[in-house]
Amino acid sequence: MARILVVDDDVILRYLLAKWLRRKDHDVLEAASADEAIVILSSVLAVDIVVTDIEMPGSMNGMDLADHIQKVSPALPVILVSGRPFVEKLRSAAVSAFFQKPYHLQRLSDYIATLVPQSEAIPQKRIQVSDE
Amino acid sequence: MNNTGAASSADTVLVAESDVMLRLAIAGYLRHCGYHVIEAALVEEAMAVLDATPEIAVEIVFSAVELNGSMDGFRLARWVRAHRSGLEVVLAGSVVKAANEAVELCEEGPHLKKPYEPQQVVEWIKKLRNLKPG
Repeated sequence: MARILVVDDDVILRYLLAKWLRRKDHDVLEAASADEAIVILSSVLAVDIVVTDIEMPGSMNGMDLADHIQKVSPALPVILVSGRPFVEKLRSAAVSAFFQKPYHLQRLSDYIATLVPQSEAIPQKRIQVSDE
Repeated sequence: MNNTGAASSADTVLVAESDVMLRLAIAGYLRHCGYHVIEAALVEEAMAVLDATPEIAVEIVFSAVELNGSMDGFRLARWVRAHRSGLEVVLAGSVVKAANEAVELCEEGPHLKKPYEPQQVVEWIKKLRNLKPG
């Protein structure tokens, strides 16, 4: 079980992913924007994994959020999701994986499961891309 | 709803609150009490969830009075009454805001005054569910 922060401005998609992950016994926190995510990450709550949409309104998007996390919590795994296809510039982003919407919930949770045991010591690594 | 404080599997609460830490806390508490909780940060998100019926079936709307978006919690409550008449609405907000707005909305003011104890929310939801026929 991990504490997962799900960041998405689409309330239905956020709800569906959070519901799925809770069924997998994860403790899920929900944020409707990168700004809300920053508030949560700045709190006393310890987050193990962040799953964030890229395109979001507010002062920063998901890429900016990933960059912020890389600076303040480099060991925290970040998974990007987007309705747009993977682009090469994402390969250099400070993220663990990329899933294109509509993503397969089971595949995403399977990938999260691979992060959970070693999430506290995950170094920056090659990005995994899933565009199904 | 039973009398032990635990929710039945059918009890789904839509929590509309723009303060993320407050929303997180109250949603977490309600889940701990056995409720199925959907979180909305904006009034537009709350309406999107309610528009997703019947795929997402909400029984109770718990909304802050001061809510980010195109309308506040009072207007959301009015919208719910007009478009989702079967739903119960619990509002939480300041007394001043409530006094200014409650008359316009209906004879009832908000049920909860901030800051409130999470258990108060559960008690209100239990009360509303017990009042509901069937």
